[in-house]
Amino acid sequence: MNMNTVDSAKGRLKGTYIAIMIPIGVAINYIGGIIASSLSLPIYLDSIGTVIVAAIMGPWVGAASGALYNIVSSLISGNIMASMFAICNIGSGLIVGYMARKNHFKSITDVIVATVLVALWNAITGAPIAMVVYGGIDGNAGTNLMIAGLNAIGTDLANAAFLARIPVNLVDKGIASVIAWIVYKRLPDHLKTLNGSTIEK
Amino acid sequence: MANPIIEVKNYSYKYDGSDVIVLKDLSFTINEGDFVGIVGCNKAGKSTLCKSLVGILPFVAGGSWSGEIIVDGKSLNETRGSGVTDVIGIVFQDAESQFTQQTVEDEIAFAMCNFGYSRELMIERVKFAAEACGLSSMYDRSPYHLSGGQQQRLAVASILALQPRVIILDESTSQLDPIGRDEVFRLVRELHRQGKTIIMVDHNIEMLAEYADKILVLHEGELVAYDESHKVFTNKELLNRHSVRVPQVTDAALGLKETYTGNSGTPITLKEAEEYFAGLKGRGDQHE
Amino acid sequence: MLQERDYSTVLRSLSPAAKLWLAMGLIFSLIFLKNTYYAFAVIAISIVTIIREKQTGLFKLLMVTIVILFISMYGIYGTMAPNIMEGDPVAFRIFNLNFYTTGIAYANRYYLRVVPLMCALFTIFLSIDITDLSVTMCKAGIPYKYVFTFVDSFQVITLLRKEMEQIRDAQRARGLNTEGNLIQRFKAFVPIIVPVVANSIIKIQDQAIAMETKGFNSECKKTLYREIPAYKWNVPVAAFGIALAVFSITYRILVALKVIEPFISNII
Repeated sequence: MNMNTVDSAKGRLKGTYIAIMIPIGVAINYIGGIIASSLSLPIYLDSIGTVIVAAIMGPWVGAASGALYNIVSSLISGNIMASMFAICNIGSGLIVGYMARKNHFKSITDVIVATVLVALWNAITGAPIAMVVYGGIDGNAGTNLMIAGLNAIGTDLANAAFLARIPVNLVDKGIASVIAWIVYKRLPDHLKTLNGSTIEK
Repeated sequence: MANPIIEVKNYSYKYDGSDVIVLKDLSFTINEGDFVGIVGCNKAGKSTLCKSLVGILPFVAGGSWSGEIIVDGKSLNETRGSGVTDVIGIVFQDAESQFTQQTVEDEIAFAMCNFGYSRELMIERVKFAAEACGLSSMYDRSPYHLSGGQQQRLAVASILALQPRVIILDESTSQLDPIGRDEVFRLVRELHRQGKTIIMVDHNIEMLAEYADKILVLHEGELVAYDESHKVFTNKELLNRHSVRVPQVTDAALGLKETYTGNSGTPITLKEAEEYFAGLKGRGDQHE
Repeated sequence: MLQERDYSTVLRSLSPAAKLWLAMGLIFSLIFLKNTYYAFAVIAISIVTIIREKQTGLFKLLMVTIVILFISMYGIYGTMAPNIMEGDPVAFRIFNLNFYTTGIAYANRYYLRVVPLMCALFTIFLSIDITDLSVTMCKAGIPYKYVFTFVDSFQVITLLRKEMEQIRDAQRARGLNTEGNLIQRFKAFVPIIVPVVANSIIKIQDQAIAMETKGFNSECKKTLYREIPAYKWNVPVAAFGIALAVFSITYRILVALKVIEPFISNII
């Protein structure tokens, strides 16, 4: 049969997907944060959306989703300076997005690598931003406890802010990456190429 | 006078990245003013067919196809799918996830804003669509605070505002409770009465038997039957072979037919069944 | 418009643009003026507004954050802030811990910047109608697709929140333990979040197609259904916000260039 073809990855729908996925990423991030606080968990759990959107739609859309989350949540809570944490989320989106684009979001090793890279980025950038916004501590109780503990044994605030963020972010981004990976693996094929990767047949 | 509004000619389709041909060489014509019910078991291709009729597949969402679909005299192969939304409006199953606005009023106006309608015209059409769908008392409610039936009616209202000539409902009642389902069918019947062409994919055989003029049966992408409701729904053998059930009253009547032969007019709706079984009642006494 | 908006109070009648200018003024003044009296005044006015606007329900959640920040900031900075030197005066002792005045000043600097902002901006932003905001953004020239993406975020948050609550209640009915120790609570997280995430992703193709059929990608110029009504306080409030911002920035620059002495100072 003589068939004509239209390539879905380059179709008109891509812009619409972007306009839909970014808000979904924002909302998943926000809901993750709500669940974390309603269950009184000492981690943020507000990057799940960024990671998933980055895995599905690629680095720039993931980064945009993450940044918009920080802006939207700071508008809702009134804590406008917290929007500066967008830098952390942008990095998370870029890292996972590029890994997914190069087809490196498939195995459990990939997830571990993503977790470590994203957690490091969040710790490195999160600490100075927290210094500016909050003076070093955080909006999150878990990080604050660790900072208090580190301070008590003599670490100065700037270093404590950084060191405390490493374990918190490893757990936090680990959970986010695993959930995103589970969901990404189960996607139907036609959604997997939206991030710019090619499907290996 | 039968005016064909949708003509499908040897249309086949397969999704991007898949080797399975989902629709196989379909050919049929829908005339303006018809009420066509599309039935078939799961994965028969019903949704794919609906999306093809509005040009989404393949021109917007990708895929491979052969053959032609002509909407209101224009071939989609030439227009590449654009302009179809002036003629056909489509409503999908999950109404809630299609809403993007804060109030019922803004939701109805959304499509019109996208197409650049003037504000005066939009206000008029919002009023018209809301009244047609029974939503006039709910202008400032959030779409998420409506019942299932109300949400589907809102989904219909949003595309009704564009005044399409054809309305496709793709499994719109599947997620509704019986009250919501009745609301939607009543609305659809009224729109049909006003001259709209209705195409409805539904699993509710009894409701389709009552409202639809014609039934199209799909099985594994092939057109198995396309005829008047009565002829299709009484053909139990054909329907069962393709995993579609017959209306309950038809089933009962056909079962009785084996015992009481010679009766004409197998019923497909409750009303017909009333008359049919009333006619049989006397015969039972005679049989002894 | 067939349905009238609620314009009963001054705050609700102000246009989104006026509120945004006011917010900008508040942000710059609270960051640059560094005045404790001003910070307390803003907090007081905001709380009064919140009560009058009946926003107290949602504000309760914010109160939790404000209290946590208070305990964390004054607790940690009071005792171990980076600017505490040997021999600094001790303000008081609790539980054998020294709370230094310099530490408390450090905490003041950050706490009295974050909390007034949170209170004031919370009430201002909560009173902004999202649809009106999108009209303002479109009129300001921001491309339609960006405005849509921004506004849709709030919509999806509402939708996913509702779904999350349904799923959480359903999982609880199936025996999921959402109280208990830390490990149990951690384990409760995944069965709630994964269905929410999976459900929202599965629907995206249908959603994209539905938007396409409603003309989202059409090339014609988009029109606006709503109009922001004029209101006599719009211009004065916006002007006040801009003036406040300009004043704050100028003050900060002049102090930094040592042209003037910081005549507005802290309590401590």
